[in-house]
Amino acid sequence: MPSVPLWTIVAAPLLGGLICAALASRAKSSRVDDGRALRAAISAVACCAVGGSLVAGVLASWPLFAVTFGAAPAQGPAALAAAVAGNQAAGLLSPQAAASVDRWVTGMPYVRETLYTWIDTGGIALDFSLWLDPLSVLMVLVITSVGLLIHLYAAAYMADERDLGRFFCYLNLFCAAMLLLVLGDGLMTLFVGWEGVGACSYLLIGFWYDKPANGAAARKAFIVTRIGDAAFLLAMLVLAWNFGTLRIAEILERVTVVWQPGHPIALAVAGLLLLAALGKSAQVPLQIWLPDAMAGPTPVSALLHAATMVTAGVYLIARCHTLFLFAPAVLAMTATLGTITAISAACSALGQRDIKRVLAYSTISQIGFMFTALGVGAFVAAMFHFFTHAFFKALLFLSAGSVTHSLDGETDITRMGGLARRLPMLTMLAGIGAAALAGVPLVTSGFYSKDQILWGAYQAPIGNASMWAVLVLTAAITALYSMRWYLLVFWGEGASERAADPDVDVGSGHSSALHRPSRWLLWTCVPLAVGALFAGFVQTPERLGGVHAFEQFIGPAFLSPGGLTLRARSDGEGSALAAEAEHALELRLMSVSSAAVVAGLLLGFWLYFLNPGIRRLLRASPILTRLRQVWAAGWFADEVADAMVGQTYTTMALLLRSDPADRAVLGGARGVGWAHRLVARTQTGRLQTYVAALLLGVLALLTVWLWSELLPLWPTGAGG
Amino acid sequence: MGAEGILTLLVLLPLAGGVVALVAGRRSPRLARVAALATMGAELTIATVVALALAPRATLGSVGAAQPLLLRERFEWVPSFGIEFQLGLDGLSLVFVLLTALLGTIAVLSSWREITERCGAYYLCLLATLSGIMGVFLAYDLFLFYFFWELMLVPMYFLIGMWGHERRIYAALKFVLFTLVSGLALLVSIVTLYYAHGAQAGNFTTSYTELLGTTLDPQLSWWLALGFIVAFAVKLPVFPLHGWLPDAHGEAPTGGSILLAGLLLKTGGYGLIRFAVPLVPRGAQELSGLLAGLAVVGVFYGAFLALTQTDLKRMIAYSSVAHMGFVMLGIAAWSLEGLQGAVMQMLAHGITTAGLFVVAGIVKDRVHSRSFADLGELWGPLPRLGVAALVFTLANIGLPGLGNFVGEFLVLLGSFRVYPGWVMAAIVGIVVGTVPGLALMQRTFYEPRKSVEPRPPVPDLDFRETLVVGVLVLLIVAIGVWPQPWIDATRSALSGVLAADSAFRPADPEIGLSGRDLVAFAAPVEIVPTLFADPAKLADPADPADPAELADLAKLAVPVEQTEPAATTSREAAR
Amino acid sequence: MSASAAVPLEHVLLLGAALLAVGAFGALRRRNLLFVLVSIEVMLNGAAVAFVGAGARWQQPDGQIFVLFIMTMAAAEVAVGLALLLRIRAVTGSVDTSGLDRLRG
Repeated sequence: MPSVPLWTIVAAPLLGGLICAALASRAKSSRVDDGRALRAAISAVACCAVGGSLVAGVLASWPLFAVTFGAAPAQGPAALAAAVAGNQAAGLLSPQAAASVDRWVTGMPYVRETLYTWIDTGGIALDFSLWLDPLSVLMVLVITSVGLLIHLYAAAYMADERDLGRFFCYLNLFCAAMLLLVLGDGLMTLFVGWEGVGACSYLLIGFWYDKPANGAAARKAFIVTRIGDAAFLLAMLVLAWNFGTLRIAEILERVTVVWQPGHPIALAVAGLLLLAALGKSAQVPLQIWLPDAMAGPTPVSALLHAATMVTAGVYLIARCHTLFLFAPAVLAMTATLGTITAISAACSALGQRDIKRVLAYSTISQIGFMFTALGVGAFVAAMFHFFTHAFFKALLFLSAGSVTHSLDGETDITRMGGLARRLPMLTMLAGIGAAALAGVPLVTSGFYSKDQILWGAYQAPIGNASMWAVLVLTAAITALYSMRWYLLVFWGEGASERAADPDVDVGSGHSSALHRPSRWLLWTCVPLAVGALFAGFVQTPERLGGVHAFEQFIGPAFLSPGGLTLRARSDGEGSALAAEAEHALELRLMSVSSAAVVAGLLLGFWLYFLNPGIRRLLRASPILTRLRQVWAAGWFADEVADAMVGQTYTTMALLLRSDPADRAVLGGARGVGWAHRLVARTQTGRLQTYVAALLLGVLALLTVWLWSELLPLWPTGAGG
Repeated sequence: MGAEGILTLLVLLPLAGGVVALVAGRRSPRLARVAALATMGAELTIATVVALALAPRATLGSVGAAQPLLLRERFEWVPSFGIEFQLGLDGLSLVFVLLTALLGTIAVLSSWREITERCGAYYLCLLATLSGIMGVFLAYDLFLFYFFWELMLVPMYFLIGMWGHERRIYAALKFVLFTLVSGLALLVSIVTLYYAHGAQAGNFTTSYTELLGTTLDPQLSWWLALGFIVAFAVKLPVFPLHGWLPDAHGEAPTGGSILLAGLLLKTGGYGLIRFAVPLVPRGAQELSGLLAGLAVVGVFYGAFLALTQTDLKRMIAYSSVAHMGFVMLGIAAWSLEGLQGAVMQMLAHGITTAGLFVVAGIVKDRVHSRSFADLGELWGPLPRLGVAALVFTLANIGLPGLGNFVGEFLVLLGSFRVYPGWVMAAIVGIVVGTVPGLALMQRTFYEPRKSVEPRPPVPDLDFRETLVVGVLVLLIVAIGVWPQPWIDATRSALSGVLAADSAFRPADPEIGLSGRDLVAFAAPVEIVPTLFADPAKLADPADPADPAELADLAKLAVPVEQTEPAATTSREAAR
Repeated sequence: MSASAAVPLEHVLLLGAALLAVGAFGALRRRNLLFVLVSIEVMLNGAAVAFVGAGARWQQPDGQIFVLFIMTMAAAEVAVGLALLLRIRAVTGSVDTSGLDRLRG
């Protein structure tokens, strides 16, 4: 097994992006027809770059797998990944492979690679170095594998795009930035990637720049996330000031020595990092940018705004979890905001009519689940949900893209329907995705990961029953809107047949002009569908197999130096009896949540399939109509944000437009001008005036002189 | 380097080249261009060779050593007044000399097609300005410094007034009035300092190194600092004194805008670092809190005003006001990181803003307008220019990996200990500054055009233009990815400047939370902040929550030679 | 000596001052350039009277010398003044001073 330097993981897509840019500038000059080969080359380069990154990622993370699964064989009957790693690659899991792996103070294996010193002021040194631990391995593998599939999909989906080179350049650069983000050893390196993905996101959302709306959406996304970035920057300053370093591992080690839980600086830093994460991950109150970000091409939505970039916030909190453990108040805040986001966005998703906006809100909602998990201290559950979510959400977006593609750009789900007969494979793929999103019990990955979070919300130190209840309700709503989305898009009558429905503005039925999505588009989704179904089996509840491969691998990343943990509520963890009771409780709770999901699914099935007529009745209710309007507008978050921030900003800008400070300074100059005019008026040009002034002056001087000099002499009569 | 007189050559070469260009311009404009380009090419080569030869020594200079000069040249000039022709080069000057040579070359190249009338005279003015700027960065005698300071104004006045755009006369007049006031303040301060030093030390001299140690009566020091700071603050510019900048930048020809934004503003920052604070540390200290505040106000003010501009060049100009706010903040903090940040910010801002003005010049060349109403949809015909503009814009709004971020981060890092409140505000200012940056890209390259008039075909960049923007893009990326050489080059020089006035410690911020407050707030602090802690100040904050301890800390913060007990007690009382 | 004793210096000075005042008033008030010149002559005479009076009071010849100077200078001045007057009349067609304000600021 050759040892692969970590930087190749980042460098591959970076290089790919640069090559794409170079090819793109060539494509401009060549003729359209000649461009075909060039375009193929661009696609190939972009895909190969991400593929190369995937290979490098796998090779680089192999030693970590080896250490985890090779050294200590996995317990449990169905240690799937462990079997793969342990048996098939037994020859590879030699000590040499694991030789490059270090162990952190918590025993977590990691690989560190310093590239060079970026900034060394004499006071503080910022290395440009990479760090691979189980958490980054997970992120790297998900980003590169999902990224590769999306790149392959995009190669076909964007085939007619004029600016293909620019597109793939941005997309590859995004991958590079994202990989840098998850591989960064220091907060600063992480921040470089963090801002990089923000910039690439801006470029990709505004990719079709002819429409001003896209540009506005891109700008909004960038600026809103930059609010979070500013918090990140401030957090770095505070940390640098306190610890003199920005290396995460070093900070976490020092933190446990120096701070007590609840330390004010810990609260400040954790709060700032939370704000940063809220911005990047589109959580309340900074969620407003994500729905608009759907203006970008669909592969972009799939890669950036579903699978990877928006989870950067989750990663950040997970990476700095020790810091957050010192700030329980911030953790509670995280959980609360996550829960609020989850349920509010789920409701909003219910009110959307745009095929991608439904998914956008569902993304916000699902990341809300992850934030809740982080907040209650169930870090593994959060990462697990990230892991499964990446597959099914990418799958859903790519399916949505295929649907839009085949319907000639139609995006309104109320004007779709009846695709199931025509596009069976797409219907199946999307069905898998929707089922996973809904969390259909037992068979989908979404079920397992969501269940972990629900269990965490109930049982973890910061969680409580009400939080659990809200999340269960959210899960039910999720099931409902997944069903709604799926049934409206693929089932029911086609739009033309639904012409009778007065509330649906019918376009010119699309049934006639149906572009079949190419095989390529569909087949790139298949691995995602497999992931959406089976990715959940790497970590299952105790009573359902009790596989812990995921936790076994990633768990060490969530050990804190000094053994700091949140105090668990349930005492007697070690006793078998308590564990047994806990497993039983877990199963009971799981039944309840599964029932809720099934209820949501059935309700959706009834409303949108069995008895669509009932919806007309529901629409008559003013309360429901009002609610729907609120949800369709995403709780009017845009309006509120605009009134609070946007208006203030514009008002300030307009107030200052004429540069009042300059005017004030110029006011001085103007005073000189006035003085000039005033004095100039005495210059009449008439000799006699001058003479009069002269005489008056002489008189005045004489008077003064006489008064001051001669008057005192007067009484003495010294004249003679 | 056995090259005597190389600094003098650096200063005088552009002027000589300008005269040659003037003569050549009589024959053909092209000849003038070639002459100017050859001159600046030679200048750039010399500067680069000097830099490469001296870089190791600049880096190795011991931290804290007084005045680690790399090169020095001195001739008698007006001995009866103690005035010398004295040039000196240290790491700090080196950075700016390189920037000057580079941007001078860029300015010559980007004027290539724009200037068609009185070409020779144009290049004379351009190169004479460059001579002045070069002299400012190298002068080690205050009178000589003043001489160069004024020398760079006159040709610049003609550049704006003769080859500028529509409102050039107004802009040129405004520029000259502002800078004359600044120059006057500088002259008065220099002369006063000259006499104060002469009366004290017995030898009347304008040599920088001689004047450094002058101890001044507090009140005089305050007034002198005010004079110096006003002089340099107009140039930088600091918030309420920025009025000349948008007009001058907006109306100047491309080459002039490049010199203005890329170099002239930097002379202000350089002057503050090299002269204002070290010469009159005590007065500067009293004003530093105010300056930090004005700097942050400028960050916001520039950003807000940039957004409402309808003219591409004015927008760039106003965003410069915002970015120079960071420079001012870093200088006001007067810590090593802050100064390094200020220098990096100036360097990077010089490159990006010059780049943006080049972009504006090319856009104007193609579309014959700088108004956003006529711009838009330019990405299609000018993709390479678009990429360059994108890189410059992203750099300007502080994207890490590009040069400006390094500067901004170091400034914030260096100021955080001194002015945490202002730093927090400045960070918000970065977000605010993002908006106009993106708006610039949007309105110029992406959005549909507002005017419906048919636009003549827009040809893509030619080789010369590609070269110009390409070099700038590569540089800004290089600085962002690998800033260490620059930081190394300036470190010893900046430590020297810092050490030159041990008296100077930034005043306690009146507004906002001070670092010390934060320490107290965050009790119990078990760890001594290693990075920024001034050992004298935070000797052993065993229990800073103790009020007596706090009072002690507060006392230590006040400069040791404080002679006004009233101020000390009032400050303590306020606490 | 005896003659001067009859007229006290104060009276002479008062006469001189009165002449000066009358002349100044005329010079300022009259619009006709000719009368302005005449008024200036009157002012000069006021000064001359003061000189004569002072010379008589202190028995010094200087006063009378000055008077001679003044008369010579006045003649020269009137010559230049009248020449200008003629020139102005030729150019502007009048000798009114109110039109002569081309140096107005």
